[in-house]
Amino acid sequence: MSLRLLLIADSDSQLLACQALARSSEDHAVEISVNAIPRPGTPAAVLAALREIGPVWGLSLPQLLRDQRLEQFDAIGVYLTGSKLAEFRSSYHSTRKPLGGARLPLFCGFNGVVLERFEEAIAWRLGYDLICLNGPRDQARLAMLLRHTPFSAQRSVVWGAIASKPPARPLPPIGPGAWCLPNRWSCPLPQRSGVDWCGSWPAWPAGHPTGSC
Amino acid sequence: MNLGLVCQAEAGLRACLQLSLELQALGASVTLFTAEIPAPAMARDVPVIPLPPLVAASSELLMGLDAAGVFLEGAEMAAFRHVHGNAARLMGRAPVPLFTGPIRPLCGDALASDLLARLGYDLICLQGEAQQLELSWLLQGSRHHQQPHELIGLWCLPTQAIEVSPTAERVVLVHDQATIPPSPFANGVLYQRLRTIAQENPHWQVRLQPDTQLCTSTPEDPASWPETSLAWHHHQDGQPPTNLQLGLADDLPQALIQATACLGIASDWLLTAMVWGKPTAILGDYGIRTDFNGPLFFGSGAMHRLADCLPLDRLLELPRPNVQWLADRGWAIPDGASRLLRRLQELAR
Repeated sequence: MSLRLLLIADSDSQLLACQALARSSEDHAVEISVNAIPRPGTPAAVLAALREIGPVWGLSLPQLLRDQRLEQFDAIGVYLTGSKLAEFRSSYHSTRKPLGGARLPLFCGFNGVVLERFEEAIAWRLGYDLICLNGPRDQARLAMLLRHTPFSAQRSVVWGAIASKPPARPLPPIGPGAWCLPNRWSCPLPQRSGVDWCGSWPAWPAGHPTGSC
Repeated sequence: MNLGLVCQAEAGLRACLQLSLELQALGASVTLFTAEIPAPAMARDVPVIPLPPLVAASSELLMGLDAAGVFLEGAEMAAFRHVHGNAARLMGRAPVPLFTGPIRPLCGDALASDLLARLGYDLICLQGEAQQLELSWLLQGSRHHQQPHELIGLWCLPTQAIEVSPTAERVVLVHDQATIPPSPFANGVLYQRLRTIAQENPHWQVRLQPDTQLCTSTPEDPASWPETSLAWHHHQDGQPPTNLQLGLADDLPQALIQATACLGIASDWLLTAMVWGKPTAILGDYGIRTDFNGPLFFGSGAMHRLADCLPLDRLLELPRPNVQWLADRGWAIPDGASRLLRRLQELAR
């Protein structure tokens, strides 16, 4: 049984992050679809590259939230800028209320290494079922930021600086990888310890690929 | 111990005066080295030597101390240490142990930037556990990973217990930061909201309180005030409501003591308000903005939208701030000056 993911992005840098995520999952039983929110200036080449990986939709957020096909997925990954991330989560949850509140897990991450404004970026992402982080330092910063707050149970996973990786050149295996990373893209992460690595996903479908975690 | 504290700008001076008083109370002799002699009201109990920082760095006066605290910012930090080391070498003497630390309650990017300039000093004074954790991650894997440091609490702000005599008049103190929000328009909008609030809550005094001097050269001249301050907009207002008043920066500590409740976006003094038990609202209308020092207040439990504080009587029902968060900022450390003296005595041996 494969895991079906929908990735949502708008700007070209966010779409490239989706592309990197999709490519890194090629060795796993993961089916990825991408919704590229229409936006002037999105390079056609980026969309073309995404189409090689899986279906690419071009729905606006209101259209997407009404689309029945959302139910086909196991989880939704959202790659938007700060306020839009929070808006999507809020809107998605609102649209699910009339349906009895059943909803898919939402996850989000970063489209590159976070050099500054980490706290600000996290503030927009809180409340997602899973926040994907680049490395142990970001995870430690998250824990520092959230301790003693109502968000201290926020789930996170370290998946390496996946969006910063070049797509073509395979790398030799180095240490354990994050849940979606095949070994050739594994980052030199320490042995799992501390906060969640991969056992934190709520209601993860049975038989999902766990990679090296 | 015979100590010197070197500072320059207003924030550094306030912090150093605060620290001086605490160190003096423990028997240390403290002298301030600052380019300009502060107002007598500010520094009445602390001797001041008017020397620019880099002149002080090479001064014989500094060489005779047991240790010197250097509370400058940015590139001057490294310059001071180098000049002092060179001067000591030329004089054939050992450099005086130098200590330093953030002069404001910073976190995140602002803290990292501040700390990088202070690396290499004999001791870095941090405020609380939150800063300690950030320093640890900042230096992990670097050659500075053994940088000596000590937690000395919220030393840069007044947090000692105060006596409050309740007054019948209700006063909400609105902390006016000269450049936050950074646009005149946003400040104008906030001023208009506060104006309306004053009109709709006539049994409250709304006091706009600058938390620093609005202009260092001519603070009394409204024409010199920044348009990004509430004070500027108040001055432009031909007929402000009688219960919408403007305070003076020098009166801030006293105004805070007398306030019934406090409002602000990211003023450091909001921490003092919390410690003093004032109902405090951090205006969440602007979100967590790094350029507003918003990350500092993340987790405080004191962030509220302005609309949720109305009518102003609601301020009196605000929940207390998150005590564990406040403890992590440094409030949990009541003996900071003693800890500092202990570490300095070790360095001076």
